[in-house]
Amino acid sequence: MEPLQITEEIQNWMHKAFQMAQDALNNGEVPVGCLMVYGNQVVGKGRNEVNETKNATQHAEMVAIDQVLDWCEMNSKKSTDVFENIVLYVTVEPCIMCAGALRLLKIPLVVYGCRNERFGGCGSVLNVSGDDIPDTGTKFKCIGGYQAEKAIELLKTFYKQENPNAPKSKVRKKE
Amino acid sequence: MAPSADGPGISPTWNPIPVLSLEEEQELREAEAGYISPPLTAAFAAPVLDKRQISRLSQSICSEYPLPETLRFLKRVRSCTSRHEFLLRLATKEEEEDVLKSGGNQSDSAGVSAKPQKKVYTSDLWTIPPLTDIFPDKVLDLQGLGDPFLVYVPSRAPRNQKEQRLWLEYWPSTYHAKGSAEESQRHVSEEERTRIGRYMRIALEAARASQQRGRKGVGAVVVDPRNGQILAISSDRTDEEGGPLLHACMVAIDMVAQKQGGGAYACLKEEDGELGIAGEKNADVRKIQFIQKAESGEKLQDMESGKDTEQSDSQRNVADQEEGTKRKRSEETTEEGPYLCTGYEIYVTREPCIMCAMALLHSRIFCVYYGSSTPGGALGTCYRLHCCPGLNHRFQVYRGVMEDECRKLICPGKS
Ligand SMILES: [Zn+2]
Ligand SMILES: [Zn+2]
Repeated sequence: MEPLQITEEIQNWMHKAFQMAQDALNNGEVPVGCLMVYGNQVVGKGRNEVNETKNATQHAEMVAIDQVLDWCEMNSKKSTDVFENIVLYVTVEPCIMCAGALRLLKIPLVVYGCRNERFGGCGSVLNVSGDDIPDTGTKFKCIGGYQAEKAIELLKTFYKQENPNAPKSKVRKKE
Repeated sequence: MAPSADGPGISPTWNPIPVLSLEEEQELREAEAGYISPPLTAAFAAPVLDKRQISRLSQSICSEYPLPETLRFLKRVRSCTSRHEFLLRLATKEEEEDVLKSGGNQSDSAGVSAKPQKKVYTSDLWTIPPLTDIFPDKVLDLQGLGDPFLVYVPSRAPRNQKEQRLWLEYWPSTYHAKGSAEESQRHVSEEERTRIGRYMRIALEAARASQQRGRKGVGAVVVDPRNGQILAISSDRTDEEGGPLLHACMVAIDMVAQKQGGGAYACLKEEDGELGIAGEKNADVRKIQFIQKAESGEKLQDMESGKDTEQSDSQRNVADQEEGTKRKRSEETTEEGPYLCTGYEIYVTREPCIMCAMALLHSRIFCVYYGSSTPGGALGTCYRLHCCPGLNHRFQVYRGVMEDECRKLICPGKS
């Protein structure tokens, strides 16, 4: 994880990511915001769609990746070129699976808010972003910890309100 | 019994090999080298002064102070040469340290030495909490027990009879052949091997068909082992019309989702008959028959016997299945969300990458069988994700299933 070097640009995009997470929370969705920025343009954004798709892999990042693919098609861009110049802004550290996907697509930089203690793939559980893994795309740079408390607070609020009558303490997903 | 999975007249050249954690592998190596001793944990025990009280004591202590789930293999009572001893409860780290500090390393005179150092000790040097301190929360009638002492008991269940005999030096344990790591993982029965081979051949056929269409030669099959139902037959779709992340496992997971009324990838929904969405069960069965015939050159015989096995299995296990379905449903609806691969197996021709391995974990897969290992593989080669200490779900993994054929498809040049 790189030390925090927060530029104005990062602040602006992360602000948008947090707005998305807040929106998600207001609509009863898992509060994780995620933006794929190419040049100066948002080419993909997503939120968790695990329940709608009944597919446990549909995390915010995977949904955003799909949007980028659609954007590339609509704008006649080669997706490999686009992904190699994308920055991902996400309020929670990508999980091991998403980190693997980001590697495969050769996305060079990820900026995130809080750590993902349960599934984190950028150092918290495994270091998929930085390990040498043959035939699995490229390593990517991470800038983590941006407004981590805020990201955690959003998640806590969500899990508290989601199921007030839960019979037992439940272990929950971060995303 | 169906003929060998490798076809008539061909002797088997592969065996499913369990992929264990590094720790388990080390233990197995030690076991094979003849050096085994159990990991130990400190506990309190007390001599039984009045044998007639044993069953009453057992009842009340076991119900009020049950051992932790993972230590239920320990017997509560052991008989020594001159007396019986009762296992009261585990000692906390602090209690253990207090006792050792106060008296050093010692043993009750009748006890069996238990620390690895095997020093002999006498009980009178010990500052041991009295029985009432050992059971402070609940009032128990402890009549019939003598002064408690500290003892070291195995903290892992024995995995075979040899270990059970060695564990006895420390404290007697029960050993269940069924479900023990060694028995279930190391020796796959011939019948089980045939079953595994049958599904892997379907994955191989999907991989072959994929390769013939100019795609990557990787295939996968998702199976519900409780009734033998095939839920998805997939192949790698990282081609132009597919998507860069649609490895065979990701496709399989989405096909299972589609079958349950979900699904995320439009390009997979549009996929037509041949090896696309696995439709209702009949279509699956026809597909397997077709593939198996094509693969082995045999007539329906192989398939029929396979089907018979499945049917009789399913009849025998109706109750089990209902139970399983109920359990699955409640997991799906009450827990974190839909984990639709709960209880399922996946057969995939090559070792899953880190993305796919974690996708299978997120989906709560039960068991993964794969053919050839890959340098970046996450289930044994580069990582062992299925037994990663920080993660909330573990599953079984076997490698080497029809390995040569699987590898040939991935690297057509090499053998
Ligand atoms: Zn993820
Ligand atoms: Zn993969």
